[in-house]
Amino acid sequence: MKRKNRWLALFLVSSFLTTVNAREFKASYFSNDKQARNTVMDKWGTNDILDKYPDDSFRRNVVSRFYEAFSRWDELTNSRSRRGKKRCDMDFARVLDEQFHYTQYGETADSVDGHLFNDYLKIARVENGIDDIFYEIILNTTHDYRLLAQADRIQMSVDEIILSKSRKPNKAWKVAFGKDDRGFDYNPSMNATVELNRLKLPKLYKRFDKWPDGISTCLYDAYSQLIKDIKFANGNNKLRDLMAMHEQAALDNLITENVLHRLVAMTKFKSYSNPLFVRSYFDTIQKSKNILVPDTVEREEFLLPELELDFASEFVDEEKTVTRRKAFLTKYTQTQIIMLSNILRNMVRRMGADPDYNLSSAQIVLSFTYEGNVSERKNYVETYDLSMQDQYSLARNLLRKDLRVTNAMDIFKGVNIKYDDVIMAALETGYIDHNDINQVLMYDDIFTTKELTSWQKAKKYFFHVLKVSTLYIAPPWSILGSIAIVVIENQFNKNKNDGARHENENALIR
Amino acid sequence: MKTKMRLYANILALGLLPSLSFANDYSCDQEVKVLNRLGKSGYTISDAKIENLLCENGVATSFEGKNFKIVAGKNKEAIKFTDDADLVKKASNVYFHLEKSKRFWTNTIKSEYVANMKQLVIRVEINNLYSRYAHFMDTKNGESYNNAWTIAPGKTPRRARVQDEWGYEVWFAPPKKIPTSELINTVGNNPVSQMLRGLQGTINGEITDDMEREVIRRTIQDKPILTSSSFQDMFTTNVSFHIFYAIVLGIADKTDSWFYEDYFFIDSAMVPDIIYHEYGHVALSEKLPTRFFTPVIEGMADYFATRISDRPGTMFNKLGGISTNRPKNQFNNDMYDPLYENRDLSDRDFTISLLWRVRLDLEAENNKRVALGLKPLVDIDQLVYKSREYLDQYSDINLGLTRAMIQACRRVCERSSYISAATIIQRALEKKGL
Repeated sequence: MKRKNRWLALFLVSSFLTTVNAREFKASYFSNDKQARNTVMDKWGTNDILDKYPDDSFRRNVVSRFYEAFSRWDELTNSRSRRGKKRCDMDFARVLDEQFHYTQYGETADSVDGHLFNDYLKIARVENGIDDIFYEIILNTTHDYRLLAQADRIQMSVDEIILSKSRKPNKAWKVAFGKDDRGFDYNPSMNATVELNRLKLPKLYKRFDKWPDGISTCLYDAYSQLIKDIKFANGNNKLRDLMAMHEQAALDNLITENVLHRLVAMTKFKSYSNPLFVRSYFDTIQKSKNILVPDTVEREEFLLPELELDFASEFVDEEKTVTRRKAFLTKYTQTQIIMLSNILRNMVRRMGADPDYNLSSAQIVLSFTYEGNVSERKNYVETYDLSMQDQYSLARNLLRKDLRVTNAMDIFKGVNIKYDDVIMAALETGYIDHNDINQVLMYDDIFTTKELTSWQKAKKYFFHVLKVSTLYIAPPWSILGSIAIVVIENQFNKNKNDGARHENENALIR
Repeated sequence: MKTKMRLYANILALGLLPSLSFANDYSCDQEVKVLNRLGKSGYTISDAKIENLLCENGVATSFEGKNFKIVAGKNKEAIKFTDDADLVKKASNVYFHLEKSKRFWTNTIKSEYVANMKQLVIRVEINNLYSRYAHFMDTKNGESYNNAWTIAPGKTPRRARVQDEWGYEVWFAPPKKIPTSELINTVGNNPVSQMLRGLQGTINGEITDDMEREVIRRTIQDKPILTSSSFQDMFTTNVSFHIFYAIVLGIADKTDSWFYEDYFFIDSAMVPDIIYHEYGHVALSEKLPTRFFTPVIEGMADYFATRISDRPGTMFNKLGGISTNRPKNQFNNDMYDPLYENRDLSDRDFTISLLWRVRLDLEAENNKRVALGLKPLVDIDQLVYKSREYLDQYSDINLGLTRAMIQACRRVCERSSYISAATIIQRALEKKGL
């Protein structure tokens, strides 16, 4: 890395360090102020919830109860983490269960105060207490935790399971978990993957001698590690192989029946379909969300707009809103998000649009040292004031440079930073709000080749053909034809001035 | 002690008495006829009431009001309603439109400077030039016509024979019909010439291309070029075309005066836009003294004149029988040229079109936000008004006005949307080629 690039890295990282203080719980971390549209429920779904729970104070109370649970888990895990312990997703689900007791009932039965837990979750989303990403995470995590609880209620021995499978394939797990249409081998030891891992089976399942407590060991970590360590046979169904492995471990008395039930339940976990987990979500939002809101700015309360934002079609498309933000949070860590956001902050500051910083001087200074006869020393300095447009051009040029240099840093290795990501980062950190997106999107315009519209393309082609056609006209009519075409084309292109490409002789920077 | 107190009370009463008994009463009205614009160059003369006039025995007798005193030429006394009808017509028009301007500056812009301004002297039918030492220059040294301007406060030097002191004044010179041919000394400054010149390069290129194509065609076909009749025909056509084009262009260049009115004249006291413009200078004089006429100062006054006249499009258009002035286009698409910084070109409409570009772009965003239930980005009039605080009489467009607007935005734009507002201003400046 070149020296000046190191300075930039140092600057961006130090900005991050100064902005990230000790983590503390804030309800605002979780409330939705980033997503313009609710994409987990359509408007009818929202109306259903509002009709079913018309009492505002009840709905607000539900959100508060969620926040209480979040806060408790955050406090718990923070105090543990100081002792080198971990923040585990299943532990989060446990705390939620303590608050709502959702595992005592099935998904369809009334569970919390006579209502469905999932309804509670929808209320939290409708009230913007949580965003779509967290909604999905909670839904998946609680689903998984509920499965584990169900697994604990199974009263079948390993032999019974194998026997029942021999008589009626699949029936055993159908009984246990309600539905299971996957076919499993009758005899797990005949499975190719089991054969491949036969010798290291004790070592693989040793980690489940003691069930991960969610404090020093996280269940997801242990399970992911198990899958990672298993050597799967080619061409086999991985899920079926995994089941066979678990059953074989139970037959070999490497795990207890209860652990088998739990491991089988884990094959049905939903959290794996989501790239974001509770702890990563907490870490990201606590360290990056709204952390760079300008000091002199008070953001208005988030307005859930019934809006047709201009940028909606390209930026927060109805279909893409969630996936874009989710993809963004998956793609970048909290440190990276703040560094990206700082790229835009630097750009905005340079062009004189930062609410916190008023520019005190914008000049180019050229200082010359005379190297002739010392007695005739003629050092001199040229100072030029930059215009607003110079500053704007300079800021845009530096934006491109910063993007390039940042992308070259080790911390961004393997990541292709796009300008859209910078905007997403600035939005996530609260440096800009939704209504600024339209404007900051255009900083990059000058570097983007604009595609011609269909009409412009047709026009261009038409005149091109017309010009060529003069070749086939005999002189002197070809000349008159050419003149006529020039006059007509000139009329078509009237008033198509592009200020960005206008030559301003007073400009110092373009 | 009591005697002393009584004495003081008497002295105080005596002191207050004159001021009480001679306090001017400006509560009188007068029905007058004023000019109102209609469409682009039409107008009507309609009845209007002018207010805040000085009462003499309960009635107004002259154009002396609380805010304005309209005098003729170098006079000190206000024009009386019984004076010459033409003079009264002009005074009525000036007084009415000045009052309208003042209301705009105090109510819409909320300028305390204007609200607290003392009575302003307005001179109509004054053909003297201004002298910063003598107030009025002798007409032997030149006369002024077809013009209006705002003079800065001043006083005569101590040694002057006639002592005089004056505040800001607005002067409206009388009209004078001047044949356009006497004023036009340009060559080729007309739309036909400009179009012909604009196309010259392209057409030449096309003609040369045709020649080249013919040469290539004949070369490919391995036919003689110079001796071929078609090439000779083409060559002759080209040469004759060039000669023909040069002749047409030469004639077109001489026709500049055809594109102007036969006579140039402006009865400035009868043109509302000019009155608003001049009062704009007075209102802005707190920060932008009227000693110089710069493109920035003139453009700022133009902007507020358009806001008061509330006629989007052009201003200063010709008025039949009153003015043949060249109009200024608020929405012109001209790109920035360093020449526009030249004080000799301060009457051009680039600055006003720049300010209006900013206004239109911010207004579009304001409307969007209001439709969403959000606060508007900024009160655009306030933005332009506050910009004056970052300008002085030497400020130019490229460095001064543009930066002033961004600086003013820091103070008047919605803080939480400052990034957007400043960016919209920057983009608007860019659209104008800055």
